[in-house]
Amino acid sequence: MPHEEVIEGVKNAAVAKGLPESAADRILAWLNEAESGSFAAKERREQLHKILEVMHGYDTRAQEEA
Amino acid sequence: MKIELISWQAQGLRCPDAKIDLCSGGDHVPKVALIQMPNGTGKTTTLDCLRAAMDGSARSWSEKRVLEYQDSEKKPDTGKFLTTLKIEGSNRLVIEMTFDFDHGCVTYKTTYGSKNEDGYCPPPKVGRYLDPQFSELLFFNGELANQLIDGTQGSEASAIIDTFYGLYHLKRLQDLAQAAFEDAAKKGGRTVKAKTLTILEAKLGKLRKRQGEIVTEQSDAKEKAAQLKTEIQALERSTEEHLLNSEKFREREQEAIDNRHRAEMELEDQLQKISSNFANPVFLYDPLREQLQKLADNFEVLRLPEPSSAPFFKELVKEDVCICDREMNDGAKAAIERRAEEILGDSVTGFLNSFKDSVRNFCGEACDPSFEGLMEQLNNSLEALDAAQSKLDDIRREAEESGDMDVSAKQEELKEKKKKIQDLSDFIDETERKTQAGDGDDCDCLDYYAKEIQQAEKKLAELTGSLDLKARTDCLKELLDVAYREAHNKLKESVIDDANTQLREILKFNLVQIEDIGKSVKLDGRLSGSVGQNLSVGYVFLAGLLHGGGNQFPLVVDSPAGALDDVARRQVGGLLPELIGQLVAFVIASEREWFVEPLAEAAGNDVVYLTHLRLNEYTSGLLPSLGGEKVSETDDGIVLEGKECFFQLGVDSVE
Amino acid sequence: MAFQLHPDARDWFKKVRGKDGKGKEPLETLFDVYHMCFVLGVARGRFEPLGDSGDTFMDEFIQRYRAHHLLMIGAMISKSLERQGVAVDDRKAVVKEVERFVDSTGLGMILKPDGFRELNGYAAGGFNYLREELSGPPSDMVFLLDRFYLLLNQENTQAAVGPQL
Repeated sequence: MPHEEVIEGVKNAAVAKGLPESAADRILAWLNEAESGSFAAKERREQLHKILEVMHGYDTRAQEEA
Repeated sequence: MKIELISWQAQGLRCPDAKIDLCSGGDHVPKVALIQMPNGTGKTTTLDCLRAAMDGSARSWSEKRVLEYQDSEKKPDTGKFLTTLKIEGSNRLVIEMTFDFDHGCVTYKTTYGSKNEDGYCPPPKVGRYLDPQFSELLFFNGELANQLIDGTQGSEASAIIDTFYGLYHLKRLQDLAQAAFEDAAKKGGRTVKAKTLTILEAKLGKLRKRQGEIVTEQSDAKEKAAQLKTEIQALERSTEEHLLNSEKFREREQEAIDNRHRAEMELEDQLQKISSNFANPVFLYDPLREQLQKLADNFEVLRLPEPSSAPFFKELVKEDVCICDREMNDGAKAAIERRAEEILGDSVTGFLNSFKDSVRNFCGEACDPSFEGLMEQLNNSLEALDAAQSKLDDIRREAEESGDMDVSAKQEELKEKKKKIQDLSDFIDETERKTQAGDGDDCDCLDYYAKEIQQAEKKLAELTGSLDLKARTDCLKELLDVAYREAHNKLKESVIDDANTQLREILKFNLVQIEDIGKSVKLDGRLSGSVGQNLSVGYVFLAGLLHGGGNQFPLVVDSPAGALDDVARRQVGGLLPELIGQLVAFVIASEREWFVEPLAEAAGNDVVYLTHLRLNEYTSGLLPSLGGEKVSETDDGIVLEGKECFFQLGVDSVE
Repeated sequence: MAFQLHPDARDWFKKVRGKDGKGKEPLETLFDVYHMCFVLGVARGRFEPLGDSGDTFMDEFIQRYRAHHLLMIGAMISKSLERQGVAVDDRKAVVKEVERFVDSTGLGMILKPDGFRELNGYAAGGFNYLREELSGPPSDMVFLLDRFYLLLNQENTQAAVGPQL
């Protein structure tokens, strides 16, 4: 389990970025698996893709930067 | 999580075959285990194998490295190292390493409770704490704590916090995201001309490299500038002292110094007065007083806020009879409601009343002291400061002209250092400014490189059709950066607070406090403490991490007293058992004095004394005089338990 | 909506404040920087709306400013009425303007988005004026205060200010 400050840091950062709750949840799930030491390489990447799915994509960022 | 080291056993390795049982065959794990292993007994091999047993790192050892652990005399085909740990006070975790010297590799077997598996497979809840980055913290020599203060040790002190609290996983996720993006970009790039991509990738590489160089140069420049500032201050002080000692200049120098000091104090006082009134806009700009008074008067004239307010009318329409005694029929209600809307509602009444009060309180009379008055005083103080400095410059010039070589040399040196610091300052400004038209790849502006890199990455992403993935990857990386900063800063603050609380208790008579944790552990108000203080700070810092949050891990220390003097040895010896749940210390005979006794006393004598010797003609001859209980004996090694024999082993005997 | 500085302000004041966090007196906080710019903007009648480019740094008055914050708001209202040519005897128009900026229906008083925008506009205008009149970002606090005082109080600023040391 990630340390509570790490959990809070991730949640706050996700909120500040205007991301849905699932973003922080997915990242924390990845971190939890990584800490356990039993994270296989393939699964690591698959979980990463799930995280990237809920990140801001090109359209959102292009709007922000405009 | 509680992890305790119980025992280990070596066979066929460079160290003598032996079993070291810290619990002496029982269940109780002593607070302190002292293992005396004279040089040549294989202490390094033992420590390496203990660490590799805990973190599984021997799986990636090279053939050459594996062979280095082979018993050089017997040259067996295989060797074994078995380590037993106690988890959460009850379950046993046994990690067996088998050295295959024919094939140059190490294989593992793990037993946890009744489960026996091939491979290095500690249970996940334990594995997290046996990660190689973490296990580094459990094994260190006495120098590490000292190196934490002077920043000469390998890992940065603040990185240790990252390791302990698992913050490095945030970086790992960032790296994985970047790697995944680069892989995807490469795949996508196959449809674009390879040459175009290569040129762009090369450009990006060059930009990133130069950016990294500038960051390093900037950091060095800041450090050098800080150092120069200290040197300049020292030179100026030295020049002052020299002139104060001179009969010719003493009086004038003292007078100018006093005047300068007085002017500086006055300046500070005036700035402080300005600061304490700064929040009052009327203080800063007196004409506002009249304007605000006028506004308040105007509100009065306009009868704002209305003495009677809308709620009064809203309540009134609920009555059967109006206040004028007329029946409250529908017509009357409608008229009253219309009127209530027309007059001022409650949305600004509060503000208007409070504003008028504020004007009454603050706009009556001009502020005293006034901003004008304080600015005049400030300028006077500045003039006085300039005059004093000018006098000091004159004195130095005169001293030089009169042939004072000391002053000449110092002034020359000051001039050089001030020039250097100016150059460094200019360089730092250059790196920190915003980019502007005309900037090119020869500039040192970091903003320029950041923007160029961003553009190049975007272009690359466009070419490889990976714009969307890049955006998502960047979003994730930024989020993780922010999360890391927040978590790291909070944890660092907490570690510093806890450590300082401990230090206030432990170093009552020669207190030292931690100010910050960056590259090194920075002490409050000084670059370094005494050797003993530094070591105390280092141990408190590490022990705080290892035993924070209800955790307990063994601390395996090679030469805990190291190069400490007697006083420091006593101090550290008495300190360690208070900080650490289980200390396993490898000591040599010369460390026994001044260190072991206070250590044992602080541990409430919950100590096991073990002496591990390689059996040869000489050591075999010593055995009768050493005494002690033989707890392990093989054909090339012996382990004796007992305090007497521990101290009996002479300093001039086996070292 | 919140308090916003001109996007270049933080950087421009960096050297004189000494660092990003707690700066030198009297510009210890970014609110002090904002206040300095605001008073100058009001004094010189410089209102320059920020649009979307503002640098948000705080969403309420900090503790140190709560004793005088109504004076700040009052100064803003006064200037705004003047700027928009609202007749001071037109009760309805005056009320409408005040209602645009503040709401004290509840227990306290809150600044409405237009109130923030108006304050921010004067702060941005004041910053631009300060930046125009000085030849570069200041590095000395006494020099800055001296110029600030002159700019607040003198008409013929170009002649009066002179080159930066």
